[in-house]
Amino acid sequence: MSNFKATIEDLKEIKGNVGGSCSQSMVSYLKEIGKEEYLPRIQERFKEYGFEEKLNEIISMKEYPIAFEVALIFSIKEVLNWGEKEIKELGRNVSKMSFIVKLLMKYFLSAKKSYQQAPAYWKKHFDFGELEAPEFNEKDKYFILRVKDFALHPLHCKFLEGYFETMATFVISAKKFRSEERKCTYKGHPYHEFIIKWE
Amino acid sequence: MAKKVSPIEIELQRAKEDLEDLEMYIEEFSAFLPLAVCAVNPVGIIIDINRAFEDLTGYKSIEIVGELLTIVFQEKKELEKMMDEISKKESVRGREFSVVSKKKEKIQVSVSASVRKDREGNFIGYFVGITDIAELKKLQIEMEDKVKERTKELEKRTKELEESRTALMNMLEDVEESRKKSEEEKNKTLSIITNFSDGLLVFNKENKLSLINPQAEIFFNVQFKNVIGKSIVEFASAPALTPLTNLLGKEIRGIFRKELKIKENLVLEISSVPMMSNEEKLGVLVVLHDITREKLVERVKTEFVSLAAHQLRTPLAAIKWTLKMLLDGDLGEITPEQQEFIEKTYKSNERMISLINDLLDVTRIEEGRYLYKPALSNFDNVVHFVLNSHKDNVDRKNIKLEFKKIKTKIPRIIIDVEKMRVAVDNLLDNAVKYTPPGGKITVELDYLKKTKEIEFKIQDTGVGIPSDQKGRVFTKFFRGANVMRMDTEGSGLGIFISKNIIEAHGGKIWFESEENKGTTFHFTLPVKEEFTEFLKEF
Repeated sequence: MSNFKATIEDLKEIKGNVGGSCSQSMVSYLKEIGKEEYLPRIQERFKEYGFEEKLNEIISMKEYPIAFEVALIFSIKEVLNWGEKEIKELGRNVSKMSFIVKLLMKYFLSAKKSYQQAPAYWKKHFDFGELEAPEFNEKDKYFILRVKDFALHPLHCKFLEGYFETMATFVISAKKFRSEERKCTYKGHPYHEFIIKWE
Repeated sequence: MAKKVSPIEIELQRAKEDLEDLEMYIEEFSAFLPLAVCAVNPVGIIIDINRAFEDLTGYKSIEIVGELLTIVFQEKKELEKMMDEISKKESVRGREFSVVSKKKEKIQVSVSASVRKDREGNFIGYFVGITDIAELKKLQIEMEDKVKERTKELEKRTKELEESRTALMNMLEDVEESRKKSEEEKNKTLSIITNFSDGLLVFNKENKLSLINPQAEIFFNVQFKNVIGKSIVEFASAPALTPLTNLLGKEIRGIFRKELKIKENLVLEISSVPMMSNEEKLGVLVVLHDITREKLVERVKTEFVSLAAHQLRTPLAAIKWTLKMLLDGDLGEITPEQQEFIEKTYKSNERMISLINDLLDVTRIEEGRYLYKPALSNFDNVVHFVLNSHKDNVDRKNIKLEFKKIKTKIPRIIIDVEKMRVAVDNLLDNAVKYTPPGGKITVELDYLKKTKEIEFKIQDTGVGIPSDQKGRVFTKFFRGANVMRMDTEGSGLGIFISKNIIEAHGGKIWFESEENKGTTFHFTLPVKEEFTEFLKEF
């Protein structure tokens, strides 16, 4: 908790904002998987991180401080005692439930085009950091996404792993997807690099 | 100092709020919508579903979003075909598919889909609406089954009806055929009736005339249309029919070969026969046989016989007296040999005279002038007289003649004594003649109170009457074949004469006989209390 609390406090210092869509979708996901009863405790923990907003009243179009979204992930993890696997699953499902994602689907006309649109999409969601799309390899069935200037917490990297994987499912017709963060600023790399493969 | 908010920021905030409201509206609308809807991107991946879709497929949004549409639509070829069609037409309606639920259950659905486009008109995916028609299909299948069942039933009924119709047609054909045959038979019968030489009258159950043939019309000089449907009682008004109605009576009694003189030169022999079907009386058939010619011939014959007999009787009487004078010796002595010859001749002459007398009796009978002197008499005296006259003859043949005592008192009866003696004598004479020596003749006389009749019975142990000749016993000149072999005497007229005498007295005569065992003749005579009653019969 103390480590997470310190992280949140550090993040509160960052000026960047994030849309409420992801946070709102996290709450919806918890309800969907039958964890609604834990929401009061999560709310309580969330408050302990310094956020008074009611979880059921998060507005998808509203911008919140970047610490807001990370504090919610920490609160969920702590109350439900989740590990990285569950946080990645949270990332996977959040994009499925996001109203914003549904609206943005019009940009996902083909796999490659969607991939090219990814940096622009990032900017609609975050007003800081940068997403690069350096390689789309249709033949070997993978693509790479790089996130620069974006250091929140290693747990959020897991969240993004899941998030990017689901985004891939929206544009690529395949049976199996797997995403992996193979470079991470918390491991000494200059940026986060995610490789998303499909079969 | 408060941060100054720019107009653009205010505008942006308003837009965000509008978008927020829109999101809520869409969520509410989507949740409320009973139609299962999913949004599919251009590559066929499900990007959104509503509550009804979750309910229908059993998939949660998080389970199915990001999956290919083929997760539920497993008829891939059909799906591709529909997608192609949507691309061309931009929408399709009411296509039947089966979707596979999360529980792997197949659900019959009706699918409608339309293309999604962005502001620039670019294709960005589809909306797919799914209606569960499982119940509808079930209902449809049930209806179809019912329709099939009903159709089968109807086909069965139709077949049965066709079979019934065929059977009915066959029956009708049979009936028609039978009707034609019946018609033919009827025509034949009518033709026979029409052309029949005898007159025919048919009376129905109510004794009303239902048919008269042309011959009968001629006999009675009536026309079909004037008499048909009339009862026999109504016939009485037609003079030509009066004799017939008198004979038949109101109830049209059964009669057999009764002669009836209708008019001068027309004598009919009438028979009436009841027409029966399964013991039910359908009516009466009256047959009118014209015997005028026979009667004429018979009369001429009788006249001839009468004339011949009269002509023969005079010389025979002369011969008789001459022979008598010779036998008595009035004309001189004759030798014993001459005596013998003359006696034989005398006997032959006597037989000839007897035959002539019988012939004359027959002619008188046939001319209806046989009874002369009806008188109230004791019938037992008649019997005793006849028995006594045959005593010598019986003794000579060593035949035992027994006259059984009268059980009850025989009332006096109106008879022609002389003729009745002839009747009884003929019966006894036959019995004596045809009973061999040592035989027995039994005569009985009784009075039947119940029927008021005198019954006479004569039983012999004689040669009897052959079975095949019994029907001719009462005809003229009948002589049994067995009798002719044993005795050449006899004219064959005795029984005929007896019968006519008895019937002339209103009586009846019959017999039983067994060849070589004997014969029994019976006759009855009605006891009339009044003379007028007796005369009514003549």
